Amino acid sequence: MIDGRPGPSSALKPDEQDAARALGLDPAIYEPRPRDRFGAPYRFPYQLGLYMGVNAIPGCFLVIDGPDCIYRKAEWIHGKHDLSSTLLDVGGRHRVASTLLHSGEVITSKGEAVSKRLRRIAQLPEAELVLVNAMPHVQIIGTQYDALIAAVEDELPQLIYEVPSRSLEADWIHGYAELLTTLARRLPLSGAALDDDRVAIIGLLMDRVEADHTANVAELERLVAGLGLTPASTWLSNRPLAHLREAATAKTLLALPHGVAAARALAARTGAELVEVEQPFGLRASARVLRALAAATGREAQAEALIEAELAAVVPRFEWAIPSFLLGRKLAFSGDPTLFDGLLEIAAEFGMEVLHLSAPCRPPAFGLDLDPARHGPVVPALFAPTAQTLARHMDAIRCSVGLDLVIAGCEFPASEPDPRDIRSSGRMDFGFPNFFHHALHPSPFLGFRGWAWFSQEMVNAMAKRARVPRARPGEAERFEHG
Amino acid sequence: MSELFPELDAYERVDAEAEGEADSPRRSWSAETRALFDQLVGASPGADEAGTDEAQGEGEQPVYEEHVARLFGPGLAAGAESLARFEQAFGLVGKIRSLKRTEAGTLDFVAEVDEAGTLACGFLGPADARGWKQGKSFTLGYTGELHPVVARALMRFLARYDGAPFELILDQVVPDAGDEHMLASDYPESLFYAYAPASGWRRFFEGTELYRGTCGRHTGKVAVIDHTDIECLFNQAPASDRLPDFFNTPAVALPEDDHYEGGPRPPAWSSQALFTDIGDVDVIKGADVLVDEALLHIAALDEQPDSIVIQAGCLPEVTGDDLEASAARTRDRLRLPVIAAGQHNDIAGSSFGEMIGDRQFELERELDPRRVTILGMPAFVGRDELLDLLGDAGVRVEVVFPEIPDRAIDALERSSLIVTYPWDRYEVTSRRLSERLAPARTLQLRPPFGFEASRRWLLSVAAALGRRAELEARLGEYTAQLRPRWRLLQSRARQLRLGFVIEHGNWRAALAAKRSLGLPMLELLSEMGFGVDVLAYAGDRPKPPAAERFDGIEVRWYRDVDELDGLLADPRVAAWYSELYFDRRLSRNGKNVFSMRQLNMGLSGAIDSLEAVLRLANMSFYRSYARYLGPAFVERGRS
Repeated sequence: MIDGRPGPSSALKPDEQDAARALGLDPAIYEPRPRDRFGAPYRFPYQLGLYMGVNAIPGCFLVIDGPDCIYRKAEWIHGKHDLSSTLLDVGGRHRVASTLLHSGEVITSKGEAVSKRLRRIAQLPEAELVLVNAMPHVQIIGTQYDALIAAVEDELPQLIYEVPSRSLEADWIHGYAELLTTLARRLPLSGAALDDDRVAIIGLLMDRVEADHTANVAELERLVAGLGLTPASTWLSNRPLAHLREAATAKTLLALPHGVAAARALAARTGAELVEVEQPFGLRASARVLRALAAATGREAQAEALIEAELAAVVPRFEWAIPSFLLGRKLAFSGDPTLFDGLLEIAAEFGMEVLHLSAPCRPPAFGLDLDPARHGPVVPALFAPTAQTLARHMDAIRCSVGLDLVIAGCEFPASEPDPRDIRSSGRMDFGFPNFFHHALHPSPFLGFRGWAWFSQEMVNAMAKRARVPRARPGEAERFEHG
Repeated sequence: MSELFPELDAYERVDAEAEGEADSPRRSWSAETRALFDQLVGASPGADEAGTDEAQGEGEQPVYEEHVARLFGPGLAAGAESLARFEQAFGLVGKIRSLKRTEAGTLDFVAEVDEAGTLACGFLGPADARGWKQGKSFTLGYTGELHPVVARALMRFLARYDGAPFELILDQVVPDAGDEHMLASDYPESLFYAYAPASGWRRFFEGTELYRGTCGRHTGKVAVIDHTDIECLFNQAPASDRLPDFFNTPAVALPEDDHYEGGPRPPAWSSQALFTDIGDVDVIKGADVLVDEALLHIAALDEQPDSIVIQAGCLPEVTGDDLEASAARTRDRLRLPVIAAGQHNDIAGSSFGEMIGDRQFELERELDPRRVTILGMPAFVGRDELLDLLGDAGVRVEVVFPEIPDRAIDALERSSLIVTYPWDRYEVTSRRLSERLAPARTLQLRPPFGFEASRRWLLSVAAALGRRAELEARLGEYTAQLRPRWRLLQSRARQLRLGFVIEHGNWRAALAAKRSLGLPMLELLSEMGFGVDVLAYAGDRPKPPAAERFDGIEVRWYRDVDELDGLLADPRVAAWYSELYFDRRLSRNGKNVFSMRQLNMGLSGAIDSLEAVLRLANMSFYRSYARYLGPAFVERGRS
């Protein structure tokens, strides 16, 4: 990890240095620079993870004890990243609510404003579930939200839960997982018996409710159904509370990386069987996920037949696209780190080289392997660097080895493609945030069909672009200086 | 005319002449309509209208005075039933526009005191509070000038209720159903400073957020240390005219480099933006050491800034980080101004205020006779054209506020003319600055929107600096190229009507230029040729006020959500105004939305604006497919 701060974690380990050299990269580009200290963070805050979760549960509201800025923050998702979001409302019935608690009022606050907001939300017929969280300057005074909630929950019809406030130590990925875990620990169980055929998918990172993520939901549920199982509930899937509660009836919990902690918590309450899997990103990963689920439910033969059918449906379309458009292309990927392993496999199958991996978050607890024994030399991944570090790093790769394609969200600091510059990289907008590429028609990126969409997008991003050559000796410095 | 100020005489003639020009739109409007537009733009006799008929003592009072901002202040607002009882008690039936119980423990009201919609404010406070008159159990007071109508109302209340416990009086402020859980710090008129207000269904204007995006920033070499945590740093998503935004903020001309195309925004200045990234351990150990480190980091830079501003989020305010001490420790070492601005909504403005706080502007200083500084004029698209045209006529021009250019103080010191712009955000600042800049003359001009007002604004500035002839020479060919297109578009606009929905009865205040960043919307749309419908809220009044007409403008009244829903569907109105981008109330009624975002400054801006509004008004998507989009109002059927 490099983040501009000096320290032992900044330096590459010897095996990472070897991997960088094996890929033609100079390990020196990973050295931290003091001038990057205090730079803009390439890391998104914890509460944006909560916002994503709330956005993906219709009828869910979030009260944040803090000032008005929490509304403007919602626009990282509402309307900019997600044109289908309902987090904000023109009538003022926003699904995130602020208590307007400014720094000057914090010391005297006993949380009365939280109670008032909860009472107002309780009057809204669309409200079913309310979560409570605090901004850091309120968090540090230790308001007892559990006591505030206990004082009103008997008289208000909604379920009200506090989500731990961890903004000073964790980021958006953890915020989203924490929301799922809170629900897994707190949602009332129906007491109905577990159904052997029912499966709940826990941990789909639904960062928006546009047709890329709703199509992911459809794809995963289609594959579960393809094994003869019933998809009982998908967390999260732009479906309301009643749907989420159906997870308690599932004999099997398919835990995706962002939902492992939540699935463990739910399984501990319901007695469901837990199947912890990687992200079904790419053909191989999707097949492994299906096989794991099939093994847990005794459907191995069905899984093999299903995988064969899926591959037969999507693979032939790519027979001739790969050599022309993808083979030998050098790419950079930045985004959800639980997609890294799948991406490496996708790239390897196409003969592409991954020369950069970074994530706008700290390393995740689950879903990240990057084992060289599996992938061969893996470029050292950057977690939560400063934007300046990242920009410098990208420039160094672009000007030396060359980069054909950058796959990243719109906050990734890399220039837009410049047709006049032979060393300019192509760009594929993907991940969070993504203000300039919207999914208004189904376009999954998980599962077999998701692989087809993702690969098609890479093909189209590369189709008109010449390959970026490696710089000749002495050229790299010249490129870097313009 | 006096012989004392020939430049001012020249300026006055511009208006007098404009009024008399054959194709001036004002000639085609009735006296009532002209008076309305003057009132909305806050034009006072002796300024814009010098030498005209209206100047003969008939000038209307401006409808949006500073104290009226209290309409938009925080407090627990009385609901319709409670308001009706207070109106009876004050003898102001149908006249109170806002009545709130404030966090400070007073009862504030704003009343319409004449037929022209002039507003005045009064309040009741505890018996021991300072005020205009003391009663036994409460105090009477007012804000701004004491209007006789308010004085009578207060005395009537005193006569009736003196001796009644003040707390009991405050308890009579009962909000509408749904607003009983409002916070005393809520602004009921805001979509972000209040939560789910009962009146949200009829809010198409936003009282607290629209200035963002036009707000101040330094354009000089200023390093800004943002001492805060990451939640605070991400308090706002990137804004761009190329992206949807929850609010329809006006289109602002930004340097090409400032357009958001992804990635971290480059600082608007040529130096540094630093973020201290306070974490949990920093809170425990003391985070102000991060500020010291950031300052030392700047000291080590190859390229030094001209000054440093330290701003803070909420967290260091609560933990008590001493920014001033950090600044003091480093000032000498850096030999730079280090300003600890702390937590402020307008860091650029506040730090600039500190910079010029002690600055003396000598009366005998040498003024540049061709230099003008314009105060408080937002960078609407089209402003550059105006400034360029003045430059072509030999006028040296600078704008201070919302931007703070690095040469701001020099420009202020040398300008012989100060032009103020009618936007309430900088009204007080502009007035105070103008007073300090004597003997430089100060003009407040009608804002340069629309073809004629833009021309007049340019001529007025140039004439006041003795450059009228040069400007006229430049404008002659320029406007000749634009005018045929303008007239063609006007003829198309005359076939269409646009509309406004006002959430309260005082529709004039809502449409006043000062509220709308100086934009005189009714006048501009009328000049373009559009007919305009204004729907104002009549509340629970048993008999709504009569409809009014001002040439092509028609004012009507609505009482509840069902009535509004029906009126919005009026097929004669092609588009309704909303300051909210995702306005399902309109899209799902099959209507298009227009806003200040389409309205630009200047001559070309007038044509661009008219084209934009025409395109928008003629768009058929929502008309064709609204029935597939869902319900317009979630509140329907409950009123």
